[in-house]
Amino acid sequence: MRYWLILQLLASGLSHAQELKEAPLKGFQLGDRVHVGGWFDLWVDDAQGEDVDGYVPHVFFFADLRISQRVRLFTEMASINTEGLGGSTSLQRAYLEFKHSHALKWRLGQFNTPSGLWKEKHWHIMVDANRKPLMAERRYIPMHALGIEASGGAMNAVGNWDYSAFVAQSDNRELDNQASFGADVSFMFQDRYRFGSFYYDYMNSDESSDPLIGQRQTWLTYAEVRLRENVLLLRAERIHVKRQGAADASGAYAKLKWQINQQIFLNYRYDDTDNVETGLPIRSYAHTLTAGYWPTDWLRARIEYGSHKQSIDSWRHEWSAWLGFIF
Amino acid sequence: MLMLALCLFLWQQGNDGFVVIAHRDFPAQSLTKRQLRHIFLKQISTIGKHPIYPIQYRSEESLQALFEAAILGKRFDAKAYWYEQQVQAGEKPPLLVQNEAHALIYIARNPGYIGFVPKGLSLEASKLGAKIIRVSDP
Repeated sequence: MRYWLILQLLASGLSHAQELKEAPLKGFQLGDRVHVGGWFDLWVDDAQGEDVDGYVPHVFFFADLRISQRVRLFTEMASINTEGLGGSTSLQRAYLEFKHSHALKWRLGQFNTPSGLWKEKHWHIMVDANRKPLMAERRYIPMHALGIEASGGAMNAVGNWDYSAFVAQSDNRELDNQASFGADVSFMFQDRYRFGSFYYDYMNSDESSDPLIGQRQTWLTYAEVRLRENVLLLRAERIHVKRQGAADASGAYAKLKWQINQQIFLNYRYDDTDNVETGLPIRSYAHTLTAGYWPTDWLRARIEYGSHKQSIDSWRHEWSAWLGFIF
Repeated sequence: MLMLALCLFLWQQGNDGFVVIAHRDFPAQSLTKRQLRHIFLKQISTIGKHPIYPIQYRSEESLQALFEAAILGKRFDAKAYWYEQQVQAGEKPPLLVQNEAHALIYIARNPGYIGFVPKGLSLEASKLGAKIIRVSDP
């Protein structure tokens, strides 16, 4: 009872006037409306048995301007140094977002192509392997879309739906007046089982490893299962690309992640994907085993052993180590 | 002295579990763990037409860790989740209360708010007019 009295007494002092505080986030808050942050990483590998090579492959920087409760302007720049061969700085994302509700959010500008599971969280600072899945490395689906996107989600007693639909300009220098459109729908059941599908109709992008110009119709199907309170994660994604004037291409990966504790995980992935770069029917395969250690909220580390081959070659092996810093 | 007494009392509550509390006008008497998870991950922002506002403690607080393990999962890394949300979607974590007393009083006085306090404060929460929310599996 006396504690109740203490609380009552304190109640007069702790009232509406004592405001709640924002939880601290990584990055820097500039005034009330602007948040900036980013990350960079270090990479060391002995790719394909060559000499050990180390470099800074990524520096990302973002600025998030909250115009109002529902409207924000987000921009992200990146300097990307592919395989240590030289860097380029480019605008990754720049969009104006209007959040009507959890069920409907609009984005206008350049955003990540909302497709499947891997691309949703493709940044090296967030993923659980050093090497991307082969189907992502081939860039059959363009990384970004310039246009307008509607997305959102809904929840009921059974599970939750998420959707995204967008119209974008084709990212092809020779056919840049072509519009493209796509949609992704997924359903999560019991917060454990997620199934989804993505469709995209577009002109082949300049960034793709596929050298042929022409229309593409891509289906991506995916599934994810989380077991034992997120200790185990099983995931698979499969892509099928219908190529105008050429044979179809397809690819898939499957992975198993074991979250040993909050800081340490092991991840194994198997890849099997068409390689259409040369025009010959070549298939690529890869096994990737990764150990990750995320000791703090600003430092992340991974070490990885990979083994990969083209259908006409023998297996090649690689070690790589990665260190990421969030600022 | 009063603050000291309160701190001592709250310290005594220890890790005796938690109860979920909400403002008396909160539009639900009970929630499943799954619903709570979605509320505290800000994947639900309304129940019916009523806006809801989760509040939490600093991540270093033992009560916060207890809640996260029980509701979000033992291996769930809330800091990593909110970093991803921040970079991907501009979402921010729930606002912070300073301590259990602040949570009790803020929730009791502000419609739509939901949070959690040590189980030992259930009676005090009721006396302040807050609603105790029953939590069921899954």
